[in-house]
Amino acid sequence: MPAPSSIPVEYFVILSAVLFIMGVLGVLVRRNAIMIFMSIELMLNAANLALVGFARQWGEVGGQLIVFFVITVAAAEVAVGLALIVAIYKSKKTIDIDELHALEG
Amino acid sequence: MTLELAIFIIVAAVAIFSAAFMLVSRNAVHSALFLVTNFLCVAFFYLMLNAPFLGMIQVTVYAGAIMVLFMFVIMLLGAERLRDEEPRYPWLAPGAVALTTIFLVVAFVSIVRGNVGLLKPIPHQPQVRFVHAAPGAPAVDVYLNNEKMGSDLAYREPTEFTAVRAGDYNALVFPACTEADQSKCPDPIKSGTAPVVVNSIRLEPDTTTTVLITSTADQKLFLMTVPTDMGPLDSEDTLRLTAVNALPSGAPVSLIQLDPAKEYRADLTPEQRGRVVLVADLGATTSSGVSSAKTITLNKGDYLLAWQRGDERLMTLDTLTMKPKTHELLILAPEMVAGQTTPRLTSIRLKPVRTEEAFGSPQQIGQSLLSAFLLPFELVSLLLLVAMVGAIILTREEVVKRARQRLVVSPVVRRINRAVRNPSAESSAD
Repeated sequence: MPAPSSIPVEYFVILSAVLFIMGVLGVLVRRNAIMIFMSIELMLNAANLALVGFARQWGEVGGQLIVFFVITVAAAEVAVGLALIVAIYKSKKTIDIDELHALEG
Repeated sequence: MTLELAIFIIVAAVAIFSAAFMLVSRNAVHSALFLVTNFLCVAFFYLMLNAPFLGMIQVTVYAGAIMVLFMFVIMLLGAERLRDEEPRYPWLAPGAVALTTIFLVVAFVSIVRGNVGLLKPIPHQPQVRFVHAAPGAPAVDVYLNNEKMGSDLAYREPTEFTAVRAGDYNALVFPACTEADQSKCPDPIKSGTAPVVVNSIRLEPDTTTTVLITSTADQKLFLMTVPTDMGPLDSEDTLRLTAVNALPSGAPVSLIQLDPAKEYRADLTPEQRGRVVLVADLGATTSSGVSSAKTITLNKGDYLLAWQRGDERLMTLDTLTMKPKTHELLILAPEMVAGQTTPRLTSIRLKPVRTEEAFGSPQQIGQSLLSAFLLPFELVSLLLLVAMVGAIILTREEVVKRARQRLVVSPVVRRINRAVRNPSAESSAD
């Protein structure tokens, strides 16, 4: 059981919410596919920060283990997603998502 | 404003500003570097939150591998040279900012008023074990309320630690049933046999207790509770030792450490022999006011110990090797020898139990990953393997050309192929 900290957990959760909001803004506003990917990573980090904050609050190491798995899955997702972007760029020569609407037919 | 709060505010400001710069930067490489700064701030927060392992994983995997992969792709695609253009949907940016601001306000209000800080750590169930330290008594079965905690416990034998619900219990000790097949034993509670001893025990959450079955001078049994703290130790090289005096009467005893080089030299006086008193003044079990059990912290190593009462040496123990991060229990108890009526002294040393790991330490995470979370661990490894294979396949060049094969091509595919053969001279940017 970790010692109580002088920083209440609300501060960490509010910071996590702010970072998450900024990630959402990035996903909505940016048109470069790589920028959108980076904003998704920002959102994942914000969620991880909230998880670790609560894990410390409750003395539960399971929260940190969830973060461990989230980091690993994010790594796998980034690998596949960036490979997709490279493949799209090779065939379409653009990664502007406003141009990538060919699937709509 | 403590130092911790000041550091938190500074690092949080750096994190928020680097995220903001990441969002508005025109150059993708700059954005990636700002994101690395953000990840390093989050890793610092993990260190503040008792998660050192996760902090290092964040730096190594997120900032060190994922962002490097981003950089590779940005360089490969030349994304840092993408130019600015008019946004296609001009209402998008203000609309997104408005919506996210509303969301932020709602989140802020709900976090502040949701009293998330009032949530307390979940208390763990108490753990209890029983030790038979009463000479002359036969092997026993121990029950807590109606649950059998230990069966056929002989003298000097302990049970394993078992987790039970917190609360008040009646601990009942019955003579052990000697059937070869344990399931044939009659339930002594249901059959109404009189227990050898009954004591009520209170078990608080988050505690670990060892209950000794000891006897008074006139051979009546009773139960003595000894708290044994299994919490994490501060240092990697120390251990905990609990010394218990289970003698029914007599003056207080102490546990002393002898220096093997000096102890048996005849030319030294007792004061020069370098004895160290480890645990002093353990009262007999029936004496009130002086506790019979004390816990100390020792460094690991080999120890030559002895029980002593005043100046009288009661018994010397063999050299014990104490391992770090364990909890040792030494009990000074009487022992009945066959053929004699008066008991002699013996020291019972229980098998040392490993203490818990510190919260968030790599040891604790490793223990959980390889025991309770083994299946998710293996599945995530499989997922990484699949992702690697998928990334290789997705970026593979089509080497084999099918020569002279007429394929039926749909108009959409023909249009795409025509667009691909004439790539647009301009690439778009954000």
